[in-house]
Amino acid sequence: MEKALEFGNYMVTLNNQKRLLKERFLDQSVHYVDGHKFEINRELINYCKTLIDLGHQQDVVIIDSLNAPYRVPDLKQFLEVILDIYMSNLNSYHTEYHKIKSQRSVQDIVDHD
Amino acid sequence: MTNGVLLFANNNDQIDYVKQAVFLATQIKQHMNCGVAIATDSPDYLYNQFESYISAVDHVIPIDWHVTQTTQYKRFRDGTKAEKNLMWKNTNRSSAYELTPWDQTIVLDTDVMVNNNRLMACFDQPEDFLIDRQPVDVHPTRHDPTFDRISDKSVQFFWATAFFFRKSPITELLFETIGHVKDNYNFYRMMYQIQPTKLRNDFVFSIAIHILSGFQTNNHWPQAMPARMFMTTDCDILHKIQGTKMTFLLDKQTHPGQYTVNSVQGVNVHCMNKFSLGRCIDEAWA
Repeated sequence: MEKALEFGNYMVTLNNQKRLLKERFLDQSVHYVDGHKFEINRELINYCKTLIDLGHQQDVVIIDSLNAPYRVPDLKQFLEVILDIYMSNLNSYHTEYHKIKSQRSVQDIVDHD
Repeated sequence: MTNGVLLFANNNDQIDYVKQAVFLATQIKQHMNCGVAIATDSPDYLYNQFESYISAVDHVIPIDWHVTQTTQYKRFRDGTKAEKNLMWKNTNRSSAYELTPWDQTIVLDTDVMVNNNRLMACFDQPEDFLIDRQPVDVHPTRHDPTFDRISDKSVQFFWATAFFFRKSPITELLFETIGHVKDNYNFYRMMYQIQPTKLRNDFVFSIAIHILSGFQTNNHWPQAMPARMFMTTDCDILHKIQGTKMTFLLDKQTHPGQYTVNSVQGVNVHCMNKFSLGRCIDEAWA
């Protein structure tokens, strides 16, 4: 029974740690430009890529995360910036996630660096 | 435009808000590198006790505090098994507009831990007023409905824990309204069906925002702060601060006195258990 209770605590800590990592990833995946806020996600990235593929690159108006329109001077450059932020955060999220996933005790989960 | 962070620190018998403010000032300098002002009723204590950290504070603003009949007392918990009833000097927040030395100001509670620079985005965005709305609870399952609305059938809850304002006629009006609600709090408390009698800044700000929104729920104003605020309540215990990493014992709600462990790194955290925060600051400075 003691082992079962210990495992229960381990599962709570592990699952919550995964959730907190995701929340941190969401917190970090934001781009601010000219007073506009963009939450970077797959939808925004795909939308920008689609517009570029369709030939819209200069002075393109898109809606920011606060529902305000923003004229992007160079969409290709904008996409590069948001992709850079997103991929960098995603890599860090991936690394941290796999670190905690491989830990086998509550102490190891919270103590890992 | 000048930018900075304003902190209010009024000590009571047991909780050293000045120590928290100085610790937070060092974090702000490290991560945001902008000005810090501390408004306090204990400026001498600040200068005498925290001499080696005073370089992190750009302005010390002395404020008067007199114990009156309206002085409030509040229950402060240290986890689920310990609590103290202490004086709660929280009524200065409405004077932030007059007290701030800057054009653009972020006001933070002293029990907020700043572990990144994302609040800096406040200074480069067009809104004159931003306030925290939906923090991320570090606890895995807790959902406290009192943080959604100021009472069951009343208006949206805003956190006065962290807000930003740029000096403008609109924010001046907002702070006048906040002052008015504070001065007539019993009336507004009844009007907005708030049962607790203690004046709480979150309630005062929420009511003032509702008034300035034409007594309507407004999802467009004010906008949320740029950085997500993570939060723990005073039923949780801050166990350790290591750089930008904070480890918490989180209250197992159905088993009082039992906790689960979790840590967060690189995010801003509102840590409501002031006793454990004080202990961890001592440990971090040791």
